[in-house]
Amino acid sequence: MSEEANDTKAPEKAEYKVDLDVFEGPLDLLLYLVRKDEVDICDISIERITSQYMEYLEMMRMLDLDVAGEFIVMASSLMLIKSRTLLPVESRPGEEEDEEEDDPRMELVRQLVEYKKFKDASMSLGAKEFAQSDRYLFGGEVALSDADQTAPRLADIGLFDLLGAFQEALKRAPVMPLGQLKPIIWSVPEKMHLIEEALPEHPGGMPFSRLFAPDSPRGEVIVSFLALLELLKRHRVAVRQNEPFAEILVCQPPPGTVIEGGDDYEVSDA
Amino acid sequence: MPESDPMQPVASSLTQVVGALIFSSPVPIDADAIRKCLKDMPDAEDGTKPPFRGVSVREVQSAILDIQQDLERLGLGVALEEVAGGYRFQTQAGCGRWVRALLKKDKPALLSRPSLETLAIIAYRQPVARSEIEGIRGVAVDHSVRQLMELHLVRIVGRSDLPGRPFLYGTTPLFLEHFGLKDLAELKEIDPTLGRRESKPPELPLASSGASSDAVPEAEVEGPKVEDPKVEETKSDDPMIERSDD
Repeated sequence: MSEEANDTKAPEKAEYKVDLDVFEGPLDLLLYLVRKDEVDICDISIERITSQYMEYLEMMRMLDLDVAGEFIVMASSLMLIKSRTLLPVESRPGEEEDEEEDDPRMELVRQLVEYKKFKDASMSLGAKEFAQSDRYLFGGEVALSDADQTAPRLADIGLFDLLGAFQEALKRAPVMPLGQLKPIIWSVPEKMHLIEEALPEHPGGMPFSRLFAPDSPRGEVIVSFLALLELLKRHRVAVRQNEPFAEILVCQPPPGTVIEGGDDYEVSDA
Repeated sequence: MPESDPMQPVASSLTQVVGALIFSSPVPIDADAIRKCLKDMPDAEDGTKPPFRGVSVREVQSAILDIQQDLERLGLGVALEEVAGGYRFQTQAGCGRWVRALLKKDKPALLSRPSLETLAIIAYRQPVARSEIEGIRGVAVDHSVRQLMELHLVRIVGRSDLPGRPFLYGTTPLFLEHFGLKDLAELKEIDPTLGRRESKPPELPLASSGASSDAVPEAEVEGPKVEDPKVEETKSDDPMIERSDD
């Protein structure tokens, strides 16, 4: 980071955006919601999934995540499908077999199914890549080509798993009564520091819920979560989950994956 | 250049020679190339014919199999693997941490999940335009495509007939090496339903050589679908050199 950039940044600047490029898109969110509900993709309730989707979108806005346009586009498609399902279906006798075709959900379902297949295939490729990363060639080169140096691979945890955990924490956080405004006393860099300091005390991984005191106000929960995202992005921490939808554990990154050096807790986003 | 130093011992078994060739080849080498090398050996200066000149590909393959089985049986920490249509020696899985300690190397970085998804779509659907990838993933993929090209895992293999004649992307031989795949047909073992239905199955003649080619955005290939991606292999960008700089 250049000095000039440091100068222009007000120290108490609250503006903070996490770049979602390295994370996932709207289809990932939908798949996540379907999986969370344990329903068959072909059997999704548009009403339910739309409201869940909007909840997550709202949460991302609250976090000031840089919500990509695609998320908004998907939101409007969901609304459209929902409105079409609400319209009375013109009953044309003798065309019963077209019911499937007319289902406004079909296009979305088809897209989700196809995407899921590619996603699964990419996971298999990822497993092969991981296996190759432990093997070396004559002369000490690793059997991989030089891979991505910037984006985290969050094992089997995606952004939406994290957001789900965040939502839980937020539900517990007391809403501050109006008229009792307090100055903002938490900063992302400070929280990053605290998280990293706390990690060695939990060799097996620190449960996500321990990031916040049980009665942390919402503001603090939000700042802590942003700090966690930033640490993940910088590979300074890793997250794992022992089984789907179990508590997320924050742990120290495997040795060697720390790529952004220094003890710089400044927010990298200018 | 005939070699006939009387002091130099001569290999007595085909397995020895095959092993030596694979060991010293800078890129994965296939049985055909090994047989060709043996066949093209010139006579020695004293007129004697070098041994193994007349061996068949089948014999070479059986020698390779012998080496693979022997290594496996003896557990020497090294295995002979088929990648990207050729053979090369690799350390066995499970030894990585010690190798890294010796070489003072970090764990290699892996592709991010979004990049892996983009790559999987390109691998199964190649030649594929960016719009199709975006249609499947539901997000903009410029970033990950660019990154995959920089890593030489993906290259431009032609242009589509669609309006604006967008580039079509395909995987490189380095892609196979990176994932330890024999060939693109191996992708079908992961999911047989993902290939393109109308026309081509994913086995394109891309694994034709061990060397990777550079994907040059300016490179233009006429025609809607490139039948022979070798046309693109213009730059002499050696993947081995590429990968050795840390």
